[in-house]
Amino acid sequence: MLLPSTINDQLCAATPDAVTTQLVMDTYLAGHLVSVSRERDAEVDFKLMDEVEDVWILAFRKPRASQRRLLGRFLAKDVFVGLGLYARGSLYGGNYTIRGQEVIDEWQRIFGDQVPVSSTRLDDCFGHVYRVEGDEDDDEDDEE
Amino acid sequence: MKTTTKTTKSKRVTISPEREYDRALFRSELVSLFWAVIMERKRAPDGFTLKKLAALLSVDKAQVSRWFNELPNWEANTVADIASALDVNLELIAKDRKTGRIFSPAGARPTVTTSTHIELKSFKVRNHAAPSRQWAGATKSDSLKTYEIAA
Repeated sequence: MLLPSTINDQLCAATPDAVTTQLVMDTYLAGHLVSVSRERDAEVDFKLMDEVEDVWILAFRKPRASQRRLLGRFLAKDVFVGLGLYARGSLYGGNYTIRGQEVIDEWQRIFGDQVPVSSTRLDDCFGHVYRVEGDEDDDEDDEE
Repeated sequence: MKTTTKTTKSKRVTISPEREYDRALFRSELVSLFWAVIMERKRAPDGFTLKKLAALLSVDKAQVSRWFNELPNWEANTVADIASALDVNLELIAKDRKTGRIFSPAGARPTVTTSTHIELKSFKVRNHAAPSRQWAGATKSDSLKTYEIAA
């Protein structure tokens, strides 16, 4: 995972929420199971934005009252580049799209013409253990 | 420093952030380990499903699904049952956090060390060489380093 220093400092800040933040980061960094979805309303770790191209959201869901979202793109398989960290509450009302576009702009500023990993194939983004929310096999099971 | 307090029948137990972190990461490791097996089996032609796992364990499929959506606090017997249901043997080791020395149920093993080298400019590169413990009251970890390349 690659993070600009400013975002890294925010995530490493010694706050009361630091344990839960650290757990989200370390779970991903260790290659442990993360949940993934392309669905807008899915409550997962990694969610693909549908408003902007190839921008993913990593969710910090705990504590519920101060949730945060890290927006970014994949530079390579398992190399997530976080480019924008926001309080969840600040992203309502169309701000997801605005922030998503800012992430793309920041990406182009830093990486130029470097194309991010296409989000059409999850295996190209996630090389470790992941679970797809809404997995067809599991849905099939649930129907019974 | 924030701590979690849980009330049991007879006493209140205060859990330190470090312990809370270690517990959650261990649960994550167990869940992830089993899901790695399931993920591979699901891709096989016969298509292993959570429903099959639930049937093998004689538990409700919804419960099995919940296990992999959160971080369950499994009993040792449940861990053994899942391993049996998936037809895998678990191999346990313990690694000394200070020396790296590895212990197995059969005794100590020789230490094996690895290293990685990443060159990037103006970015923090986060590896999982060692758990970062940077919450309030804890010391900063060496797992977080800044790397730079020549322009």
